[in-house]
Amino acid sequence: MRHISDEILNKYIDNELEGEGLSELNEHLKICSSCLARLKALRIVDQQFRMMETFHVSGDFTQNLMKKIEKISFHYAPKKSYFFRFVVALFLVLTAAILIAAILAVKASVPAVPSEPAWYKTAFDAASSKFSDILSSYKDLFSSRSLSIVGSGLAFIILVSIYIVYESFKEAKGRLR
Amino acid sequence: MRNLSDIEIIESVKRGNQADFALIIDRYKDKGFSLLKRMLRNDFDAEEVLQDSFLKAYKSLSFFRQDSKFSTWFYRIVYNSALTFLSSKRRRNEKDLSSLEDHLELSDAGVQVYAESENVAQFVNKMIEKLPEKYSTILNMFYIDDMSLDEISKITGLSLVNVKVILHRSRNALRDMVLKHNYNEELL
Ligand SMILES: [Zn+2]
Repeated sequence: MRHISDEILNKYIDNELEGEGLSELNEHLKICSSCLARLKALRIVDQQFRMMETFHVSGDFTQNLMKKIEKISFHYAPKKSYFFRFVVALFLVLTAAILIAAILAVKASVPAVPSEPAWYKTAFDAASSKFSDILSSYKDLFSSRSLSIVGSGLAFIILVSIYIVYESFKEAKGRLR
Repeated sequence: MRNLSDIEIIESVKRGNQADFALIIDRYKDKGFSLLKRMLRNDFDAEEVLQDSFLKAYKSLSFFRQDSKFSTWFYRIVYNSALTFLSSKRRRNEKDLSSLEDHLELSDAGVQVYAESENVAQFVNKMIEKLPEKYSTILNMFYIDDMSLDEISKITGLSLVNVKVILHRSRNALRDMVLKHNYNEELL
């Protein structure tokens, strides 16, 4: 009688045995106590291996290691970049707001051209009349003289934000190297 | 915070939350230490190489590709750091992890360990440390680190067949010891 090979027993332990191989093994185990003992012993070993001891590092390992990591000059994406992003976003929103205000103010100063009233027009007029009330107070701001001051202010803001974006890109590139 | 996946923690570290790396350390320190202790057979060396491995991992996080498992990537760093450590030490101390013994000669160690053990659990645990380093290392990867044979093969550079041979041989050798000392009868 041929006994079951070590390889087959190991495959059985790893659930890799199926079909004919599995039924052959089961048939043999019914009549062979020595192979049954080998299988049972192998299963004991496998179960003990699963409960194999995990060793533990000393208690202050994480703390000491984090201190070393903090000392490394190299950092991932410093929080500074959030500040840059915030500043850039703020400038963009401010610029857009001022531009829109300027356009509306200029529009409001142009006298309305009389034409056939349409339903959408009356609705628009009702809405914009309130707007122009508010905007008329800003009208003086955009008189030809103050307009040039606002324009140069805008140009300055845009230049500053472009510079900040450029700087943060340069820094990010340097960090990659 | 404890339930975050490895990838989520690493994303956070990369966004600048350096302190979150402590979560990764806590998650892998004991498993990494066990692996290294079985490779190096020395607590002090194991802790030193483990610390080195975490530092290497931190510095090269940007090279970690998110589509692979962090554990596999990290254990590869641990394994290679241990090999580097061994090769620098080998000049002083002959230790070889590359040879694959044809036959595990354990009977002398078995008798000694049997005398010191109260039960089969103690016996097997102590016998694991009597196996050649390569064997106990692969057992550690398979049973503690839940690596597949394929992952073990990729990390160690051994062929899949060799990994399987080592795993089976370790089991068979210990099975023979269990039979020899009648532990199976005790438990049945
Ligand atoms: Zn048989």
